[in-house]
This record gives sequence, C-alpha cells and structure tokens, in this order.
Amino acid sequence: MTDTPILALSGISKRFGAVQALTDVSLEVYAGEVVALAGDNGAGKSTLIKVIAGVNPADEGEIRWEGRPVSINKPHDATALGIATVYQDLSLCDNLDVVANLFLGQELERLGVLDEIAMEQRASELLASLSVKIPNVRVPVASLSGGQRQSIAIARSLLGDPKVVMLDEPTAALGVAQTAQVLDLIERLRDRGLGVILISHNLADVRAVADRVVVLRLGRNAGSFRIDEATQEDIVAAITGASDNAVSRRRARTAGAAATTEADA
Amino acid sequence: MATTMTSPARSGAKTRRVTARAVEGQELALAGVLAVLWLVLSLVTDTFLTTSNLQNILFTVAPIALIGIGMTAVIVTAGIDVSVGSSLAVAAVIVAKLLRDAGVNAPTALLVAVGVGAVLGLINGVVVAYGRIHAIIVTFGTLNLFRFISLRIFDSQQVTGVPDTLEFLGGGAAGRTLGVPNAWWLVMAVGALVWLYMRYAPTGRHLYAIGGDATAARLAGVQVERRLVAVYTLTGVLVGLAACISIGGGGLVQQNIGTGLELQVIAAVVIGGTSIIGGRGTVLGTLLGALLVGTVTSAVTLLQWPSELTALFIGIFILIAVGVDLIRERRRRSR
Repeated sequence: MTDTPILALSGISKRFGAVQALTDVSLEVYAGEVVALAGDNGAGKSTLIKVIAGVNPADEGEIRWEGRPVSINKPHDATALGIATVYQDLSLCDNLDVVANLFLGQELERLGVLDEIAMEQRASELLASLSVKIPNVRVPVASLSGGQRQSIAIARSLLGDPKVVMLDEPTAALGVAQTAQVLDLIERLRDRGLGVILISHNLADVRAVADRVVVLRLGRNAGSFRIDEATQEDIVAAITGASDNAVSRRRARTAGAAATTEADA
Repeated sequence: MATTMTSPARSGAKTRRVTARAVEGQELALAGVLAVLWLVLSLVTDTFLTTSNLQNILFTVAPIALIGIGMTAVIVTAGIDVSVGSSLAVAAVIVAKLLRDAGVNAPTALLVAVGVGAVLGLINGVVVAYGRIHAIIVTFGTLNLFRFISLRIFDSQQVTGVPDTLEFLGGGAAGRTLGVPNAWWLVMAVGALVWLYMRYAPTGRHLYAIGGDATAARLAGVQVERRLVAVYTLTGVLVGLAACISIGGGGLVQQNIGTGLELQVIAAVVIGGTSIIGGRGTVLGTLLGALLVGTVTSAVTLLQWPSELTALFIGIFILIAVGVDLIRERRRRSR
C-alpha cells in the first residue's frame, strides 16, 4: 500500500432539492485494497457511488486522484481517470453471448468490421486470468448462473484497465456458492493491485473480503474500521447510529440464551 | 455445474464457429420447408414451376421482403413499425402525382419516394427514441396520421393515368433482368447489405444489444437513441422504394394502397425467426419468410383452393414460428 490513496474524497456534499443526501463525506481508497461502503437504506451509499462515477456530480467537496485534484462531472470523466462501475442487475444483455457482452460498446474492429477472433481470444484470456469458469464464451449469458453473470460484468469493467472498481451489491441476488465465486473474484482484483469499493448490505460478505469498512449514516461518515480490528457490533452500531437500537436490543434479549453462538455471528 | 464443464475438450474441441449468428437453425428449417413445398408443388401442378409463375411470386413478394428488411432491424431492437402501409400510401400518391402531373423522370421519382419515406420513418424513430413511448403506440398513431395525409393528397380520387416511368421496377418484361424481376434484385442487394451490417458491424451488433436490454446497452456506451432513429429511418427509406415498385409500370394508384401491408411484412419477419420481443433475428430469415408467404399464396391460387386458406396457412406458420421462439426462450431460461 502506498502513502497516497488512488482516490480520495473529502468534504463531499450533495443535495437533491430539499434533501441533503450527502454532507461532508470523505472516503479514501488505496491500491490493492477493498473498501466496503456500508450503511442502511438511504444512508447515501448509492449517491456517493454516483458522485464518484460522475452520474450525479457532487455540489461541494474535493476529489483527488493519485494526489492531484480532479473534477468528475460526467461518467466519461470517471472512466477516463480509470474508475469502473459495475451496477447492480443492469449490466448484461441476456441475448448476447459472453464475448459480445464483454466488448459491448467497446468492440474490437478491423476495417469497421467486428474482429470476433481477437475479441474471443482476449475474452478467454481475461476470464482465465481472473479464474472465471465459463463453459463456452459463445453461449448467451441468459444461460449462465447468477455468479457467472456477475463475474462477467466485473470482468468487463476491467477491459478499460481501471485502477478503481466500484461494485454495487455484487452478491445481492446470489446463492451461497455463487457468492463465494464472486468474493474470490473480488480478492483477485485486490491481488492485481486495484482499489475496490464494495457496496454491500451483507456484513458477512463485507467481513470476508474487505480490508476496511466505511460506514455512512444519514449522508454523513459514521465510522471507519479496519476489518480485523472491528467487531460486528461496532459496525452495526455505526450503521444504526447508536448502541440502543432494535438490532442491539434484540441481540441483548437473545444473548443470554445463545451466548456461545454469538461469537460466530 | 459450471465448473465441471470447463474441460478444454468441451470448449476447445467443439469450438463453434467464431461468429455467433451464422446461419441459424430456424433459417435452415425454413429453407427446408420452402424446398419441400416447391418440390411438392412442382410435382402436383404443372403451372407452379414455370418462369412466369416464379417471376410473379418474386415480384409480388418484393415489397414485403424489402420493407421486411427494415422491419427486421426494428423488431430486433424490440420495436415495431405498424405504420409502413400508410407511409407507403403517402410516398406512392406523391410520386404518382409527380409522375403524372409534373412528368418527373425516374431518378427524381425514386429520390422523392426515398425522401418522403425517410422523413416519415424519421418521425417514427425520433418519437420512439426520444419520447420513450412504446413503438406500437407511436406507429399505431402514425399509421392513422399517415393514412390521413395520403387521403388528403389523393383528394378523394384515385390517381389514374400514371405514366410508365418506373416500369423498370414493375412486374412487366421491362422490369426484369436475366429473367428475374429488378424489384427482387433490389431486395437481394439491400438484404445482403443489411444482413452484413447487422452481423459484422459494431453498430449492427448494438441493435441486438438494445433489443436484449436497452438499459444495459446504454450503460455499456451504446448510443441507443441514434440506433433507434436509424432503424426506423431505414425502414422508411425501404418503404419509399417499395412504393416505387408498387407504382411500377404506372396506370392506377388507388386510395387503399398499402392497407394491411404492415401485417404481411410483420408476418414475414416473424415467420423468418425474428423474435417479436427483440434481440434475435436475421434478414436472411425474413427473406425466406417472405418467400414462404408468397409461395403459399401462389399455391393456394394454383391449386384452385378457396383463397381464405392462405390466411389459415400463414396464421399457422406464424403460430409455429412464435411457438418455436417461446420454447427456445423458456428452455434457455430454465437452464
């Protein structure tokens, strides 16, 4: 990990009409690090992602890329810097095969004609380098499992050689085994030296792959934890905003009976 | 299940042709049906396999096939254009009156027809793409609007005495080269171009992406609106050419020209294996579908069967085509 974060946001504020969606938020991502962005519904996670992706630019605040200040006003700005975003559920065309999906919108061509051979080779190489197992890159993605589809969506984001990848709920609709596939893939992104921003509701996933957790609550920073130093309770408390809340009361109620099972929760 | 199937034996030895959509199963099946039908008809009747009958089929089918080429692109993007019959009427009446009253030459007539078609197609395309209104609503509206415009130009009278300026596109002897109707040569030339475009050009691939998932395509950088405007405009251009074919050797242009044409065109496209929900289909299939429709119509006439049987057979073909498509789609989902 270098001293300068690849991406550093500070004092980010965003307002939609009467709603103050983000207030003075900061976030740093280093190379080779998975940062989980946690928070309850409406905490501002998606808004922050959209600020970084250039979909909804920030009203105020500073964004630094590798130490120098930059402005991200449209999606192209983010892509040009090297920020890739994998949106939830919205990323693949079911009717196209794996190769066509990987290269959609950035097709390789020769003399204005699709270069299918080159695309297929690069697709196979890319998927192999990420250890993504696809039986045949020429099948429509509709016939693939949810985990494979998510893996393809993530692999596609890497074609532009980004330095930061943002994943929006990548495991939301997946079963246990498929979630494990995607978590493996996220670790491989980290091993490649990418900075990964992971939005997830699933604290188990977060604890499994993230190095740090940044918690947002009501549009403000509500805590930042190194994953190996924080307990589940710390994170939940930050997300809900207090130690006295429905989640911790319920825990306290059941703690007496199930004190031993608490440890692996 | 995925991980066990990744042996190189499976993905390597049986490498499919690199290009995904070569000639599809449905096209082969259609070609087979056509071949069998032609064989049977030439054995059963002594009039089917004659030059004049084949010329007649090709000429009759040409406008349907020509518009079908554009309609294929439209339906692949998960759209539809039901206004083509009315657009054809507008283009035909304008061109017919220009030919008769202004005595324009053939290139001017073609240019005007294509221009009128393009403008009408552009209107459809812009409203569908930027208005984000479903294509069937938009084009159902313009179907009526364009019909109104054409009737206004007709001014309550059919156009009679149209000169034979465009006879090289007509059904007569002057409209044939090497025995094949020029209209059909046009269909094959345009069909080949659009087929190549949809298969090999990046923006052609984008049409399939839009039909598969327009939101995903947009996020991936596909210029969805531009592509949509392009396919509807293309359809309009082809409608203009089809109008010239239907004027052909001149004579009479009636007010009801083009009525119901959209359904024949859509039938050819659907029978040709294009999925009505978008994302899949080829121009080659559409041409075969149009030929099948033409063959059935001709067969019913030659066999002196009641003509309503044509509708029955075409209906059955549509149901089979849609059924095959649905079964394929469900099998794919359930995997």
